[in-house]
Amino acid sequence: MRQSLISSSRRGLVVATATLLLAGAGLANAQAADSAPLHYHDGGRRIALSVEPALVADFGPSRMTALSATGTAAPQRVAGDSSVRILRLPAGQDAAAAATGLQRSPVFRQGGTPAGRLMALPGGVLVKFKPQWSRAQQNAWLAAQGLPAGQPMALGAEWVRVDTAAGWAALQVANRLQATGEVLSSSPNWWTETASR
Amino acid sequence: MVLRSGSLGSSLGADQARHGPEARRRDRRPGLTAVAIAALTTLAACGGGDGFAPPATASPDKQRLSAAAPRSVQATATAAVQPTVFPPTVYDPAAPTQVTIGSIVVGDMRYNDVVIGWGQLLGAGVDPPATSWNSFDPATGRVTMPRVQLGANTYTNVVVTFASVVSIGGASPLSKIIPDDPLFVDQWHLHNTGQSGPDGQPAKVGEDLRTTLAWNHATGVGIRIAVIDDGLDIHHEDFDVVPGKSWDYRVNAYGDPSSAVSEHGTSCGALAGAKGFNNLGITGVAFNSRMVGYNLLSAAQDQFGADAVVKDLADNHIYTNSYGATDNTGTYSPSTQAWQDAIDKGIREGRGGRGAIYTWAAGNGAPTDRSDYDGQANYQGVFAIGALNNQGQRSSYSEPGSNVLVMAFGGEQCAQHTITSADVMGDGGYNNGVSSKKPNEAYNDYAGKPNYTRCINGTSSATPQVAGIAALMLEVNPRLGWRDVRAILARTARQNDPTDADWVENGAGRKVNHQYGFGAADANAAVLAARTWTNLPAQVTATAERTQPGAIGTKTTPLVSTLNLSNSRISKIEFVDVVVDADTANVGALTITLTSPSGTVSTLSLPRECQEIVEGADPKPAPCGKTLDGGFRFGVVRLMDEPANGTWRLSVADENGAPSTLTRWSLKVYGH
Repeated sequence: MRQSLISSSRRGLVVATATLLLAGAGLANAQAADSAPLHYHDGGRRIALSVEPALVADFGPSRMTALSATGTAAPQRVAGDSSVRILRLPAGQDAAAAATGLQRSPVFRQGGTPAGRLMALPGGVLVKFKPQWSRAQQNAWLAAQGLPAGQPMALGAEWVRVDTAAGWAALQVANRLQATGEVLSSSPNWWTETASR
Repeated sequence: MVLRSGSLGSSLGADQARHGPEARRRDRRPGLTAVAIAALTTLAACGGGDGFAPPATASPDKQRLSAAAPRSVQATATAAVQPTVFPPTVYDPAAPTQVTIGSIVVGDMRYNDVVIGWGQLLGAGVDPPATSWNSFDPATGRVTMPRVQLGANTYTNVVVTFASVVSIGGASPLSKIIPDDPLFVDQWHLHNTGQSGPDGQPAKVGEDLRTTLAWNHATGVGIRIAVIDDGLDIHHEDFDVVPGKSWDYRVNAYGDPSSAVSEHGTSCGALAGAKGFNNLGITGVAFNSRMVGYNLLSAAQDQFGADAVVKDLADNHIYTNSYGATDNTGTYSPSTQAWQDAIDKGIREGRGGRGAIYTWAAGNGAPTDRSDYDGQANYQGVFAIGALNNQGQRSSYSEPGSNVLVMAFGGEQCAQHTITSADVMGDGGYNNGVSSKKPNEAYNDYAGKPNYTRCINGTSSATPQVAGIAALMLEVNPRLGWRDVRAILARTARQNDPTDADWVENGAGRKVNHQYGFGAADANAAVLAARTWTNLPAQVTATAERTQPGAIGTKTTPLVSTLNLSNSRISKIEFVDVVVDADTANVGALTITLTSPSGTVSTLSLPRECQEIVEGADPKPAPCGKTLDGGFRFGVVRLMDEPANGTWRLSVADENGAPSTLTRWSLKVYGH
């Protein structure tokens, strides 16, 4: 339908704009809306993070090839699944720079310890609004934040997924929305290392 | 239309409009109950009693139950057991007022070749059978027959009113049902006859799920199990998968979740729902259930993790989950708010408001990890399942915890003795029938059987087994709420390894153990309890919080902080959330225990060294960090049925004696 095409295009434009604005933003910018140390929020709870300096997450379709082109040696896969490869870059290669591509993310450890779960940012923020907010109110509020309309989630009408670029942009948007105090939860849509048992 | 002395055959061939409630309202004859039972019992005593012996040769119109095929060269069962054969239920137009029921369970007895006179035909069709076995409902005087042969045709879901017993061919106490699936003889978790694994050590006879008795009552008909994992081979020869309803998270759409590397989900799903009595492969616990597969582990993003547990919530009864945070790290892994809200939705809205069932692998990280540290396995909406080996003792890797509900079977390692299940068909998966498909993995599998494996283990294996038991319970009593299923599993669990020192009686007199929860799941006891279960009253919650900081003590003088709960309206606890917020440099140095008002001690955290785990590298010791900062929620199920009111004590000690502070702690008690 035409209406949905227009909506889709507009949403894409907003995401692209946000991506351009945020591309290249580093740790300082990502944390600008909240104080250090590095962290995110989930359900209003603040959770510490640390960056794995030698790792990068590649969510792109031509993963190994693209990253290999950024360095002289092939990166080594250390984790991941069908949607992402967590790669250890060859010594001397700048992980921060490698993680700034549109479908790339820095790699984090949950809890700020080397034993914490590996996490990365494929893009998107999961937002929980107050239950009395209508979908229109949710989207109007998101628009006021310069963000596209939220996509409904099956787990409840108060939850939406807001598109963002991969990487730091997602963390920055999530923390910024949480800092408004107007939502019940705002968390990046993390990829989290998960194991079969 | 109601037939009395007419032709059942013509009725079966007539229109199918007799299924509705109107038809079922006709001719309720409860007065027949006592007559029926008495007649069956009397006739059994006179003409039966010589056991339920399968015929020497199965006639072509019998159910296809042939002798077990030769097992693979590496199979090591100790004794061949003849598969169970049930005679078919047959309607013969030459005797139009009668039907011969091949086999039927009434009370504790199985009656064989029972010829009854029937009163009215209340329903019949050709849809898939809606029940597992022939049954007699004393309350309504109805006989339900999932399959009735009429010449070359088979009609399904035939319901008649009972009129009289004409004759009974035989009767016997209920006995084990043995499927004809050729690898069943290796499935010691279903029927432990003392089979040996590659290490030659015989299993302990009887250490199994007691499914062979439970199958007298249910096999999972009508139950749909969602297998959330790395995939599910939806084309597997031994699976009954609902077409078009699996989900592929690689493209985030309905599709084929399988791949050559989706062996884990394939093996796990099979243990819940692989087909039985099809003379092929293995047997699932609920071998007449149906499955769908969601390959969450192909794209382990938070949005998908929350989505998977409520996917098609109106249609799935059970979600089995054999995955989680990386094992052996020792860290606390909180679950996300989105996932928690999704589980809350599932238990609130699933199964028409009765609640979906979530089985969850307790974790394989012992001794470093405890299941207590896993924010998914310790959540009140899920059942944390641990693993036992073939001796009925905790598998060496199975994580203990105050959240562990019950145990099923995982075995140890493949070189010792593990679980027989399905593998991805053909060349993919764990093996191709000739060699292992996993790098650097010794080939220890079934030669020439690439679609099966004998090397699946872990709490992953145990979890779908309990999902299968839940399916059996829901078949015999679809009205059970999810909390009822949890309560029944706990109350009917068998105390395995009874000499283990950790067994205690909680304040309600229930034996419980951090290693084992309430013990080994007992399918037969659970199904029998489910049949007559009265649902629990509505759940209520009570909360309490202490925000006054306290200095965490040492091992010899721990900090003991108390909370008093009164007027909770909870005389029987179902679950307890304990949120602990502490400012400490290394949570790996802490011992945390909770003592209930009844005096039951629940361990929540123990000192350990955390580890950095990276694929392809050896684990490296690492500090556990400050991961209690901001609060971590533990979950406790072992206090089931204790009263909630009274003084709760949280004890916290730092074995290093480092200066640290308990900032805040709180309780949320669920019960009735």
